Amino acid sequence: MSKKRNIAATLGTLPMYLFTIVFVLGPLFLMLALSFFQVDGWSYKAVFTLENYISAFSGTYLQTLTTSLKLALISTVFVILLGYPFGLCTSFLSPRMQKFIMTSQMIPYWVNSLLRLYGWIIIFRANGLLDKILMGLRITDEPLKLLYTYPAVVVGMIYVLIPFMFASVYQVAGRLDYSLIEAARDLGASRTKAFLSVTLPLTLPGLKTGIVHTFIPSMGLFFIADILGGNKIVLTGSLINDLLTKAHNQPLAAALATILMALTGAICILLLRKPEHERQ
Amino acid sequence: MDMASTGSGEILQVVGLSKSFGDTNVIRDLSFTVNRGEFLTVLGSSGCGKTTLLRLISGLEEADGGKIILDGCDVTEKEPNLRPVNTVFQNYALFPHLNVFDNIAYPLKIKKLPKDEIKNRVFEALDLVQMSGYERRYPASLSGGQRQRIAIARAVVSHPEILLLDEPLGALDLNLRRAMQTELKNLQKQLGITFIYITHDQEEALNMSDRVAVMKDGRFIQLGTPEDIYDRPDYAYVARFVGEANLLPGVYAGETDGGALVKFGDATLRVRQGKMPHNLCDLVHVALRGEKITVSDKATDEGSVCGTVEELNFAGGVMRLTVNSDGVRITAMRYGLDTSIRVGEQVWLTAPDLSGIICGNDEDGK
Repeated sequence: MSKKRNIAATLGTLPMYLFTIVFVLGPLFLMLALSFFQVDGWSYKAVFTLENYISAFSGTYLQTLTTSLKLALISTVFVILLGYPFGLCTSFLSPRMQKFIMTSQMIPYWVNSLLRLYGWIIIFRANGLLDKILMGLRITDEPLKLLYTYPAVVVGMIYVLIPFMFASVYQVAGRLDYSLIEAARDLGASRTKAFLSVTLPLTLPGLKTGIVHTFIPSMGLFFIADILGGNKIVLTGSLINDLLTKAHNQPLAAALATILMALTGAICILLLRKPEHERQ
Repeated sequence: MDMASTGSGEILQVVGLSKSFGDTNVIRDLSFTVNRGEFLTVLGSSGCGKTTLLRLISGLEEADGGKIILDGCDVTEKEPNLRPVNTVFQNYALFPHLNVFDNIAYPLKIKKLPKDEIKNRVFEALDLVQMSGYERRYPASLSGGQRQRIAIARAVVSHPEILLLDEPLGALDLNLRRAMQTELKNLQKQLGITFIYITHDQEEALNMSDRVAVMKDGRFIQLGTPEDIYDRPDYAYVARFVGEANLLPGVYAGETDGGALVKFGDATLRVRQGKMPHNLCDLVHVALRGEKITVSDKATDEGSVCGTVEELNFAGGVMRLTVNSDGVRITAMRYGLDTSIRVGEQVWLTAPDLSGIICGNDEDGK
């Protein structure tokens, strides 16, 4: 590339770099610094301390952290179990069916996500849609009262997160060469063995991206737990929100946020490493 | 054919096989047998059903009717993994996430062979296809020819009864293709495995095979040795498809000892009978190879046909002359460059006794 073009390219990307430095890296650095500051009444002092981390890993805060992790894990597992086969099987359909599924999948997202979550309240509440259907079919005799329970939160999480898994898996599975599966079968592999030795490893990058795109937001989607779980399920994200807006404990909020970031960052690095055949 | 006597000579019997996709009948009531250790080539243009036939034998496609009997066992309903048949795919279908060693070891690992044996057999197979030392490479870092060799090694490593090859040389350049033809043929002799080879390239078919099946519209219209196919085509289609023979329209003028007489205008030529029966004065087509035709600038005998040179093509080593004789275009071949013949000149064509053969109409082949 010529020097002139190089300069032009650098100038072109400069605004984005500046924006990222000022508005993404800057706040992150501030957050990290803040998490080591001492609490001082309603404010903080620039004195180094590990106290925030010590309290973050003890008592209610630790419990909240494990609740958040558990919910994220459970949601992710369900999203994998439902989203992976959905994405994979869609890629095997005729182009017309694929288009139909993609479109019908997108239509609900024209509605604001918060509004869609309120829709679940109508479904889950006592004597709501779900209860009426189940009782009408005589599957249950009395209302299940699912709203403000753990399962309701999990369903809400799955509902919000499944498109990310579907999209990641579908994208990779669409590029899968079907003759590889046939070659495996031809060489003696049963259907299960062909799936495990060929289809799964070759769609694993999609699955991993899907997990990253599911697990990371699920650690932060506290509003689902707030709306569908009432006050019963408190997540770290919700706690950070409260610490900032109500308790004015910014250092502790920063410490919790740093821990969340470290956790999700570690998962990203672990999952997104390139496999050997792509490195060669 | 006596169905009960499955001799040890036959490895594959296909009986009344049929397959259709929607309204299209791709394989129509197809029956044939393949002998153990034979190199059979299925030759046909694209869309004739040859790939579908291969997929039916391997089990990747389910037959609508008929039977596939492999080594005495009916495998028509069997899953592809339970058939002792392996395929070399057109696009090689090497597993991109496995290195060369693991690709070749794949069928052996499924059979759960001991590790040492797997290792020995993989290295043996690599040696066989002259790819020793490549075991740790990944398919993405190999050339087309190298991938081809690995695909063959992977397909033969578990000693299948039959190796199915779906236009395996199609993606290679001409020189490599010629070299691989010889190598494949030698490999087949060395391994003693039955090969069923699919191609649209008549040169490949004639060069490598013990027998060639010419396929058209889901049927074999002729199955025979390469010499049969080339020299004694049953149908006009075979004569045209294999080596572009001339098909000369003439009138059947009865039998003579060991041949038939056919009239082309004033000239009468003694040709071979072919398989199809005809009546006196029937219009017949005689297949005549261009290289059998002698071109000269004067009438030599009463069997010679007069015509005008319309086109001259010199393609290195062979010169093709297109001669128009009373509206019938005849192609003659001459070896070497001959500058004495020019376009627009009048020439006389002669062919030796019994060099032509009467072919059946394509309609009869259906």
